Amino acid sequence: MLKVAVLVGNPKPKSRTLRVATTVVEKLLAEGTYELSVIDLADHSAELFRWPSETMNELNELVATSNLVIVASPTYKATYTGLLKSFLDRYPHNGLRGVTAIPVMTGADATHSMGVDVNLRPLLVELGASVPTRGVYFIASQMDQLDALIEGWAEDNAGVLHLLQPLVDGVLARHPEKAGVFA
Amino acid sequence: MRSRAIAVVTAGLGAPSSSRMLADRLTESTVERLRADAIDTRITVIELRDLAHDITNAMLTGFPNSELATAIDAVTGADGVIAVTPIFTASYSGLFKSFFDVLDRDALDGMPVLVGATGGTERHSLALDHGLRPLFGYLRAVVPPTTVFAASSDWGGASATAALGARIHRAGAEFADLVARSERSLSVRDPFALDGDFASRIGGGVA
Repeated sequence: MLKVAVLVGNPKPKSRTLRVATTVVEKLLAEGTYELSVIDLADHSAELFRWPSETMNELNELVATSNLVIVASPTYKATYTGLLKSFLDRYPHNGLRGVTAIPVMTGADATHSMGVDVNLRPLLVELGASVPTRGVYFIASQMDQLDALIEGWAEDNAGVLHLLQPLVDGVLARHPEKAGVFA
Repeated sequence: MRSRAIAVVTAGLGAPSSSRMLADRLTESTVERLRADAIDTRITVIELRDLAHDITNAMLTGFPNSELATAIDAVTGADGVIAVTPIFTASYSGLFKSFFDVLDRDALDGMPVLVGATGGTERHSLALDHGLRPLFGYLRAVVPPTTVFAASSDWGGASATAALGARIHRAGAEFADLVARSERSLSVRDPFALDGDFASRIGGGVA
């Protein structure tokens, strides 16, 4: 069973950003093949700047031990929120190694579409996550087309993930010891 | 003597922090340059570490409490801002970003902002130009060409400290020139101030 986490850095709880992120999971993976945990950082902000914090440690651990993490943020001042960054700042170097991540950002209009791959992707890469697909940028006024738009993204990017399979087979033939290295 | 207000925002977590150390050096260099031009300075230092919980609350509620509001007023009412963050994961810290997240999008319109960053190694020096400059660009602030990154190794050894000192000097000079021309602090208006003669508004007036 795949372990999947949705991490949302929106100061407003139960946001549209959260809905977009969970929809990405629903459209990408078959029901019953994964176990989903949702972390809405708005619910945990009191602990965000507390060290040590058992709650934060558990949440950090939950994300770092997932197979797939959807990391989602609304666009604030042209980039991801300080709320999301503050949570990610709690990881040590390479803290998301072994995790596959999909960056998701929502925004008011198309002018900040590049933000997800220009700002959020490098952050996840720096933390050691693998980010094989294009990020998802979702314009908040298109919520009525959420299912269709994310379905389209999933179709495109399922193809991208499929491209990785022959590569995985080749790499594991060369480095058999790497099979299940992060499992 | 003319006078200019400068707000110094630092997001260092330790006490003392290297971000605060860098901020102090940048402030010193700026003040010196302005003094040479016969301009007096008023400095307000804001350590975001002390405001972390106030900032989180403001993010959630949309309203700053009085401590945070005082800090925000000092920043938005200054003639120039010196902003220094530690670099975490190749970018500004979450605390630093959170503070600028709670500002209105027009709050720094035209504001000279000198940016600095600190890190364990020089590996993430580009975060200044890839992370901080676009953030302040969005806020329509004016960031001088020279930004200053200080790695741990820059604080020790004669040649390293000399190189850092030269960069601080250049950054301070560029920033001071912008601050000298900025008259923002003169145009900040007290939102509770009464316009005109109050007596005339209530129909009285002095005969």
